[in-house]
Amino acid sequence: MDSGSVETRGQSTCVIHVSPDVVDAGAELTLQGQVSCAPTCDLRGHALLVKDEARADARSVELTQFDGETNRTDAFAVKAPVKAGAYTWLAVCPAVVKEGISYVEASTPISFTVKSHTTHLVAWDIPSAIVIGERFRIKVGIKCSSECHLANRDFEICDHEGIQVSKGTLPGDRWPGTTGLYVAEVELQAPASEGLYSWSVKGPGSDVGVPHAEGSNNFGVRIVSHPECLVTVETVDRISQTPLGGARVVMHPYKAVTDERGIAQMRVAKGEYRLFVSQTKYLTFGVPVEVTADMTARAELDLEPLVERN
Amino acid sequence: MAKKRDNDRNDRKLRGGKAVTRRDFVKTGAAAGVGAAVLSTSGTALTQVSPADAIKWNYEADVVVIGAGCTGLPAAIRARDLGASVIVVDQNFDPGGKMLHSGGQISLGGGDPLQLRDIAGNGDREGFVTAPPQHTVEELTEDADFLFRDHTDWSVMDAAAQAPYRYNERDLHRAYADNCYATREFLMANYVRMGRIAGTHGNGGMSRARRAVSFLMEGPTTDIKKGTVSKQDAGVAGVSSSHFAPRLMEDGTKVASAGARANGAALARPLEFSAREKGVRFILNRHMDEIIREQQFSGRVLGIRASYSPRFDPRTGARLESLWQNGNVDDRTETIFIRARKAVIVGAGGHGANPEFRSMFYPGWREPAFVSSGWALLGPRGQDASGIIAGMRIGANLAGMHQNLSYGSTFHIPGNLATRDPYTDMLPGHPTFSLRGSTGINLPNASFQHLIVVNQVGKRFFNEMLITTREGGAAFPARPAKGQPKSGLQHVPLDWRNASVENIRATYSEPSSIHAALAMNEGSQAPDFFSGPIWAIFDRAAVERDKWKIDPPFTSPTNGYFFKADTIEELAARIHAGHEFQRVPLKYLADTVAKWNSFVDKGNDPEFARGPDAPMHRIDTPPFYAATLYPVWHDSYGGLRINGRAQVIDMQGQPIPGLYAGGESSGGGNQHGLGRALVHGYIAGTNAAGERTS
Repeated sequence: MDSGSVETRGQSTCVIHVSPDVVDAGAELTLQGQVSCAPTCDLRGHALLVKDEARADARSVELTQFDGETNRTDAFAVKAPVKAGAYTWLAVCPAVVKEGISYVEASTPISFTVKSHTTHLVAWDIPSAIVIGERFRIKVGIKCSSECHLANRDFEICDHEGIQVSKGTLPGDRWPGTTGLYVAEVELQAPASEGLYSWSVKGPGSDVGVPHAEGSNNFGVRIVSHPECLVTVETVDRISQTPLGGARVVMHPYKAVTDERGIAQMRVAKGEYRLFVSQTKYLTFGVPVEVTADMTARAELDLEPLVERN
Repeated sequence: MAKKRDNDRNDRKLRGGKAVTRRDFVKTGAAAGVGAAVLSTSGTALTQVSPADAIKWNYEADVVVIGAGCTGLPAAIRARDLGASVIVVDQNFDPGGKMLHSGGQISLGGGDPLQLRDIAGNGDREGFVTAPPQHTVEELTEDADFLFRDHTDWSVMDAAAQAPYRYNERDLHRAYADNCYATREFLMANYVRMGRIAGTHGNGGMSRARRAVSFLMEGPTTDIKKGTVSKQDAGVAGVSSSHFAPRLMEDGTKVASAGARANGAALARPLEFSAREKGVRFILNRHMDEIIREQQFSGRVLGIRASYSPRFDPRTGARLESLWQNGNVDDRTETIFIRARKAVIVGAGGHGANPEFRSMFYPGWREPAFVSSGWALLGPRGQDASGIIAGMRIGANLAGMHQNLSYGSTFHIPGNLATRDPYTDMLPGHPTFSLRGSTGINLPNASFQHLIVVNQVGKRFFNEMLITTREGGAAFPARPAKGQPKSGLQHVPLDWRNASVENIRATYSEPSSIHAALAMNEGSQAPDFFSGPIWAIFDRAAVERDKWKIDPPFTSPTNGYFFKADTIEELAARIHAGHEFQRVPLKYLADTVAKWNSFVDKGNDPEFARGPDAPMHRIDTPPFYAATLYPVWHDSYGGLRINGRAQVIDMQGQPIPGLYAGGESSGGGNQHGLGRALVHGYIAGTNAAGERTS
């Protein structure tokens, strides 16, 4: 506090910018405080106090900037509470005497909401056609909005009627290429009848430690009858007649990839399909086919024409 | 991050309310002294802001050329050849304009020297062209009258049911046809090597083959006189471009011989080399802000006012410099005045990068996120309509403004993801690469089966397999796919059946994806109702299946045009936080992806009819990716009205004394690409040099 005789009383006003105003439990909030005085006063070096909901002194932050009218702190981070709910903290600019003027204490509420961590679930590597009653495997990934370590986190798989058909626990492996998606592989049993079913993967909520909200995601399961026909597809470049390995062969919902000889085989049910063969840099080959018995098809692919450069 | 409502240039110039009015100028000018540097951008008021009789000229030349591109360079060389002193100003740091990044395809015709060379089956003088001619004698045989008729054929309709030749200015195209032979000779005399005639470039005529591409031969060094380009300067596929050639120079074996490397660099650099050799002076980093006339709407054109417009490397802060320096005048004064004793030639490019100007034709194009081709190469002031606006300010008329709608690639969606400059595929090596940050993920049409495309709120809006589809201009060889009933030499000029309802019904194939992309959506807000960015959404499985290159330099982790996330929800949040034109959250993205996956499971797409043309693939394998898929305004039609002498015409139909224009700064000629601008430049240079000295 400056020394000198006190001649006048001044007012000060305090404002706090909060980002975000809805924050994950225990995550960081970014605050920046500003104090304006009447008459105008340079308060650099003075402190702004941030008090939590119990009005304990949570933090003392120095006012470091003054633009001739307003004093500001640098942006600073504070940890949000770990319990979900609406919070009101308090920013206090203590009384100060400066250049003979006595500024009374000013305060302003800091309002924000703490929420449970969001849980996002992903399911992939689901076979495009699953034979009735057979077992199949899928991958399940769970991601916390605050990238919590999710080892030992439970999840469950529910069928189209909401009945749990499997459950598992994340082993703690992070999926390559991601920053916090934890993955598990699950074996499941296909239903006993054909159809397209909507199943779901669910991550139950948890209030142990940092709270996590429940999450779920649906995925399609295509169940087919026992395919009785073997379709062989030979794929070549039309001009060179050389085999095209790695080409994707699709007869919805059946899929296969050609080997180095340009050949793919897949078992399909009798019926009418559209046979697609697609390969990088080639025009997609597509023809209608009717499968009544084992059959062989030949796909001659043309290179996609180069786009003319203008 | 702060969201942009407009581009950098127009924030101030067109929207900020800070444009300088005549009253402001008079007030400021009085304080600063008339002729002082009081304006750093061109004002918006259509008044002559620099009183001619009070100007202190900083430089003088017989001919002042605005723009060192496809019109400006031939104009400068031609005027110099005829004895004039010439100064070329360009807003960029390096000459070449859009020609430098072009494909180098030059359609002329009318019995030009290359058509005659191929008819005779001859090669070139240097022995570079050994490939056999690609066309029959009949496909190459014509004269100027034939070419003139072809370029003004009212009957021709294209695949978008537009008439590309009907509205061409007759006097201009008569002169064009009469000067094609001389222009081709002129190019060859100025170190430009061109290969065999192969077809005709967009809107270059229906009846004969007229296109040749410029090339240089790969050699140990780049030597314009010898006609060689080093391997490094020509560029290495997938690795590097160069300062010499901002885009990879392509294999020209088919039209010349093994070792030929072809594109616009093989046109722009030889012309620049020749201009410098002949004594043309270049004032680069210099944006023309005003053309000065004796009185605003009368008298001769006296010169120009131009402001300093340097560009800087964002990493080093260093000013970008031209490849070659000889002939450069490095003047860093904020504003200079340049006197033209004979004439000013406007070759300042078009208006494709000016959202306010281009939205005269199409309000959806007021969206500032989308740029003109060559955005990084040319900078924020390239293609800004400044030449046209400067002409309008002194009374010039306009022509062909509606012809923007008559060429398939004027605006379209290129299949190059993850860059703001999707028309071009610049690799590291050119000084402006750091400004774009990424080359882009360049996908052929078939690869779009692996992704979905969403608008700024995260909703699909078109069949992705059709989204980049477009037809080129109506040109030889005519064919039904381009809107004509007959192919090649079977095409019948001036035949009413070309424009018949039956033919249009049979040949119409406008995909309209660009219009869906520019449409309003739930995120569009008053007053401009911008359509917002467009995003290709895909997953790791797509990248692996189709072998996409998604690492730098093809993408950038920091330029805001490519994002990766563990979940779709996170991806949406990252786009919103990290892309400068993403003004609203992509609130539907997660639902859209879920819905798409359900369509894949069912094997059909009831929303946009995907399925019959290509297999559908789930988007479910993390990580997930978003990359911009940006519309681009490539070239523009419509500009200053010029006559057959390339003189700019005023509102009374009279030439403005001492003012010439050509290329994309001019209108009335709906021919795509280089041929039109080169001929205009040749004509303008010829006539400007012949003006009396004032």
